[in-house]
Amino acid sequence: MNMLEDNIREVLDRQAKAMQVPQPHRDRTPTLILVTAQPRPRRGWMLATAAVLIGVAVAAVVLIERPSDKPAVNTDKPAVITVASPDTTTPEAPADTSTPSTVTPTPPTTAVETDLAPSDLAPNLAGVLAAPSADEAAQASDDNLYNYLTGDSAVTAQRRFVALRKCAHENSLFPPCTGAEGWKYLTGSADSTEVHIGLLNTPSPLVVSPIDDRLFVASGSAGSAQDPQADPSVWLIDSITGQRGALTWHDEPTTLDSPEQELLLYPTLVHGARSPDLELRGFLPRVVDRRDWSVKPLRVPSDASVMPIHQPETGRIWVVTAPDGGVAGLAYTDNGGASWTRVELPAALRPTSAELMSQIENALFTVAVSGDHVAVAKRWGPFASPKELFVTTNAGATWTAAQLEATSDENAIEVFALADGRLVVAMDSDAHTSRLFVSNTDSDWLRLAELPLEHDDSGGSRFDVSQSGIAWNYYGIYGQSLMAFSTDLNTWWTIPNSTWLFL
Amino acid sequence: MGVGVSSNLFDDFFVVAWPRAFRLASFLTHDTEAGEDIAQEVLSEMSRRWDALERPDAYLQRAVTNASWNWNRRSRTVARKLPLLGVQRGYDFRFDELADAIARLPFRQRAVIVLRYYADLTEAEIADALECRPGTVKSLASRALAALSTEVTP
Repeated sequence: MNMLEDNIREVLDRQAKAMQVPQPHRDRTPTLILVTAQPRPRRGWMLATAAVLIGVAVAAVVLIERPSDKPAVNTDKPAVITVASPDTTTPEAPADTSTPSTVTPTPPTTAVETDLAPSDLAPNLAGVLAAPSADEAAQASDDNLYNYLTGDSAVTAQRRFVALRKCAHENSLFPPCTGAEGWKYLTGSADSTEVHIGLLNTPSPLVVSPIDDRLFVASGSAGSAQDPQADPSVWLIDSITGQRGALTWHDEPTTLDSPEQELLLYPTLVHGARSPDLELRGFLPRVVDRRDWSVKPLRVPSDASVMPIHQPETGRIWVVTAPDGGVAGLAYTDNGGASWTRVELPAALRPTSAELMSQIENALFTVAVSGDHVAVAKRWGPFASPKELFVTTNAGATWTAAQLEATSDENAIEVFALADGRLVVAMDSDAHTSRLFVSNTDSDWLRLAELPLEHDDSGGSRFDVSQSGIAWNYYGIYGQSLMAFSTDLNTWWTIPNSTWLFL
Repeated sequence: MGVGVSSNLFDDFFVVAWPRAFRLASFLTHDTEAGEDIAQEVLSEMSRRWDALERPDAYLQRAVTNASWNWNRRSRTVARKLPLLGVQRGYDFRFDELADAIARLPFRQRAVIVLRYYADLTEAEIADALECRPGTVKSLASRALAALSTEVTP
């Protein structure tokens, strides 16, 4: 063991010496790094996963079979608008009073040869995907989503749309796409021959949201530490027309939501212990029509500490608040941020001062809202013991503790919302298992599934939860991935970890 | 403590802490860019709270570890092996194999290994940084070393 320990020291020492320590940026405005996206319930049923897979294939086939008819690529610099930050995080005025800025995206008028070969975009599903049963196929209809993830590519699909991001460089062992250069995107639809590809030049993940019959894709760069001013844009891409607009913005988008005709774009994380000079900014871009995007800010309380959560049934928006020196709680608004009602959390959920102080970049809570059910749990830290999950059905007047079968290994929790008041709790353990619980009451929780990681690494997991389906993606540090998904929460389909999606 | 004095103290701390925070975060995330961002975030936050911090070193280790863990969970891109391993001249593949094995450790085990063998923290200091009991540190270290000894070819 001593030799092993000596070797460990030497390995770490060699690596440390070989690291080139960058120059710090002392005057840099801190980037508000984002929390994990909080999936929200979707309207309508979801498209069968098989149909989405077909969508991926169709998009690829379009590219493969029509090499001489490549889609137009808009390489023009898109129109850019600057969205002024709210003057204050104090919600003094309703969002509607803000003067909307508008942008007319530059139409894709120029067909430009791209260096993205069609073969680069062909999905190659090496593993075996179990076909959905007839029952499952019958249940699914319009709104399923799933997410693939490999080391250098990500594809997200919703409804009949797909969007992906790809590192354009060849070296897969040490991919150079670590800055803001070299990233490509593709958007397409399964039932259309329209596929748009182009150079996005952003390392950020894509987030997508369907509105009506089109898919909006947002991605952006918050500026790297080396160059804080680099490309601080969020892009909105209409997947049907390929039109793009860019919002000047210094945070990456985490999530999109599309209640009715609006597109809610949340850029925010604010960690629990807030400083007065940190500003939470929420913007609410409203899509007026395909060529005219107006934007208005959503004002939130100055002590908000997690991105807003939209409650589609009522239009209510929730945030977690964590005032300096005060007691963390919840707040909600029914009028677009003009005023906020504060709700106290149960005592067991109130963070200690040490937790408030040590939470950098992290939201203290995970929150989900579905119907009348609001679930809140203290996000479990890497070394903390499992904590409680509470549910309220009366806007915080009373709380009920959920009884979950937690083990000492559980070190993370996420809460998600399904339709009609159903809530899903996902727990990760250090023993490479994850478990899901579901409830449609505030007290009875059904253990839904337990899926073991098949590879011994620490990449993590990601969930995409929508109204009637869950996609569950384990991934490892070398790109292994195990996907499990279900549309009825009973039958689970899996793609083995040998499955790669080469894009 | 006056503002000027506090500011000077933080400046001194920053000079020493910056490379340490960067390297620690890079080890824990296996991404030097993320390591830089995390170090920047943590130290920026510390500069604001400087007057309230009783033990800056302990805070730094805890905050970097927490932030790295969050990054691991949050990241939608898969962590990669540190590129420096591929370019260092005369590199011994024995160490490359060991570095890979460390990279594959679950986060908590990896954190204990890095804090113990890179940062040279005692078990009590690691427990403080990780907000857990010393017994947990022992258990994590034992499991990590067992995994490494199994994976690395003698």
